[in-house]
Amino acid sequence: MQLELGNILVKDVQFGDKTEFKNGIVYVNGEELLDNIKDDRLAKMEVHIVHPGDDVRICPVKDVLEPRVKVEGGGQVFPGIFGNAEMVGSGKTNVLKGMTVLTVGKIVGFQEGIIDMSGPGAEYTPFSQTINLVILCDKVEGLPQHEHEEAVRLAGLKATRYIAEIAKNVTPDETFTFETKPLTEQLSQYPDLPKVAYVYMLQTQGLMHDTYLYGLDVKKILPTFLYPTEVMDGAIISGNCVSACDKNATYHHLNNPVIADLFVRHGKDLNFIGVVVTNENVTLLDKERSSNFTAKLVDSLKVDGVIISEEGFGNPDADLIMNCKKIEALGIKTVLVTDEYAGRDGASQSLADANPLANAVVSGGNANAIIELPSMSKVIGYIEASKIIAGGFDGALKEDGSITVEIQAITGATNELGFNRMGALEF
Amino acid sequence: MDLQQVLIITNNPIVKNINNAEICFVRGDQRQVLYQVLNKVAGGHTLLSHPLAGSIKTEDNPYRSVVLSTSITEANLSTLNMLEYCLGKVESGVRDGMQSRQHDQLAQDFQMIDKELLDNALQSLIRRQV
Repeated sequence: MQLELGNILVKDVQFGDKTEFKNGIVYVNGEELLDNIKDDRLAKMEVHIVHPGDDVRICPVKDVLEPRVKVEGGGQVFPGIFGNAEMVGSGKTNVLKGMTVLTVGKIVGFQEGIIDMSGPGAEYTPFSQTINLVILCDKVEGLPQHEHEEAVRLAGLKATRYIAEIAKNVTPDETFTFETKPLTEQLSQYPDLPKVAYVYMLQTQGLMHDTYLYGLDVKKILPTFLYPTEVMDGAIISGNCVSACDKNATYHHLNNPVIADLFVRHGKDLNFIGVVVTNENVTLLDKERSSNFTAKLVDSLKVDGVIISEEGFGNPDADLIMNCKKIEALGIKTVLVTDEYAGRDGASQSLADANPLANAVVSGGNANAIIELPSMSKVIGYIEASKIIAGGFDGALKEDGSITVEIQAITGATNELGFNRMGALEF
Repeated sequence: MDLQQVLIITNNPIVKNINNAEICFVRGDQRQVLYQVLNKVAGGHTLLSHPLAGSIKTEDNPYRSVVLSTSITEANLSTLNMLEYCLGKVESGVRDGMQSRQHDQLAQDFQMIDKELLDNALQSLIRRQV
């Protein structure tokens, strides 16, 4: 399966009479956009545009997305949400690079997700470096949380599709081609290089913790094989609203750096075979079943090593260690990508599970680390949420609008795919 | 497996009434729930759901519901080890003085999320033959 990604470099995003792409600028007709995404469950929606360096705080952020559109090849971006779940990952896809669509909505009280476009907080989130089209969604009175989450999730996806359409006939500024051959061909392509697969753990525990694969709730799948380019075309989308620092937004999935870096080294010092997606469930039986199937699938791929990335923390730590132990038991090396909840001084136990076989671990950082965020002249969303968000605490919001929070509250701060600006090296 | 075969240890008030399931209601915080789970597992009950929530910090979340079997066998050492590790994680949060937030206004949301995790666990378990 071969995909050509065409990056269209976005110089600016501005409101305009017509939604179009012209001279490097994305013009958005805000009224038409809202018309395209309207939902009876959402009482009020607003559109804002924010730029890197703006004196703006956005909170609470639900999802971050990137406009992509199929130019050639089957299916459409976000398959299963749109269309009939046709296979994606081949042909050509255009990307509006440098901008995001960002949904903001308060679904439960403790929900977090701060993006500061300037100041010290901006250093902790990659989305302070993008031009963001922010969609603020308020629900109608009495709407249950399940429906509220779905309505905001769909608003983000529809808005992203609406914007992406303008990129369909634009010639990209740069193109990158990615190819993974059918398994037996791929295994024999580079016989002298170590064969590596990627085990992609997705959070799937119910409301606020769900992820979708071709539109299917991932808690209902058994681990399965994907071509990496399917992920680039939006096969995986986020329905996850908790733990802003280490949840994978849809943008993270589309731009998964584990996949990107494996492709960079593909054919040079490793042979990237493909992706195994698996879930993180609630019962121990489900965890055992999924890790058994993950290990079996990895074994059948005949690889020498795997990279395993976790999403979230707490009981998913058990899934991470089960996957590690069972794959290592097959004689296949593992490298784990996670983050840490090691207390504010970093001295406490980092994960809720451990094993001596987990001896190669990449950390995205300590989510309990504290940061002072100065006041901003403009807030999009609900700043009072910072008093009660995860990572916040009593007195977190001061009278002058500054807040003291754990970096857990900042969107993408300790991302477990490595899509962040922080890391730790041990020698 | 049916609901009569499960024991739910909880401090979540909206989990008090689940038809047919045996419920052990704990008056206390999440630590007290986990210590009660530890006692039951040491007594031979089988742990069926993971003791920790997902992506909600134990020191933030006041409510927890954990599912065990009503039947008793020999105590499972690896489960006890896992529980000890989880309790270590919870206790380290307490030692760090990280339980400082007002929960009153969030109580209903935390109860609802805990109940959602419990419902998912029960839905998965009631299809299972033991």
